[in-house]
Amino acid sequence: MKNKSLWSSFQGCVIAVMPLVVSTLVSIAAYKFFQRQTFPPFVVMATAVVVWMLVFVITYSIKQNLGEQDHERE
Amino acid sequence: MNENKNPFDILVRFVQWTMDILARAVVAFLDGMNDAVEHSSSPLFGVVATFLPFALPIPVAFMTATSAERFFAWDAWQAVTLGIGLEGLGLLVWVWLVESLISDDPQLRGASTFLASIATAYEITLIVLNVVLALNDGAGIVFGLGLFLICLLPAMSAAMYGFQRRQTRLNIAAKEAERKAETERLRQEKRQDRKEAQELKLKYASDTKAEAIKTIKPFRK
Repeated sequence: MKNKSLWSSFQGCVIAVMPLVVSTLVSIAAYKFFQRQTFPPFVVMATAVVVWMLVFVITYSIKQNLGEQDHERE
Repeated sequence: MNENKNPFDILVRFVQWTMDILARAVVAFLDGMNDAVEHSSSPLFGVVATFLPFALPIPVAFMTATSAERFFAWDAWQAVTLGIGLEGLGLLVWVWLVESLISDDPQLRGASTFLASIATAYEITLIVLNVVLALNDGAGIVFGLGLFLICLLPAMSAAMYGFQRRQTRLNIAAKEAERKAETERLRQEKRQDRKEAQELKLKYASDTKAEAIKTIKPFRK
């Protein structure tokens, strides 16, 4: 019971932080890519911020939709 | 019963107790983190989704300004004005184009060709100003491709914003209709209550009168 609870807590935590983590990683990758392509610094920074926002919105929406589908199935 | 006690039992119990506390601490930490992230993510999503359509054109606007400064030798203020103006136009035209394509209004639907041509002109200007001029200047193909993809982002974002705007307006209209229906229902109920109360009053008044007539004795014989 304790193990299950630990596992479900871990799963819940990973799923909750997933949009933040994925968007941050993709944003860092975009930042590095545009920096290497010698884009102007402000454009690199703005693109990284915008990519973070975009990926966060997409992953969070997917997570919410999957959660709703699971809820309906139950 | 065989009471064969192991001398290490106490050690085993201590390890069990320690692991139990450790597991509970980890569970409490993970649950707390889960709650904190879940509670903060929803408002964060709202804020990000609201600002995203206006934030997406910013990198393109500044890239356009940089290109204008570099290839046309414009002053910084002129280049920034061009970048911001062009992106403002792009946001407006894409939102209206989506609106005209999904609208039921025939007048707005008629304007979709005109809006589509402005949107195409905007995209061509953006791509020529940024991608074609950079490639002509000797930029790499990966640079050009990256820039091309960035140039498409504001259009996609504005299109999504157009859909979202329409959906929000429909939701507000549905809520307004629901509120009006509720007000009307309450008004009808109140009217019915008033009518019933009046009927009761009349009935009570007539009963009292009849009773009064029946009970009063004539004073003349």
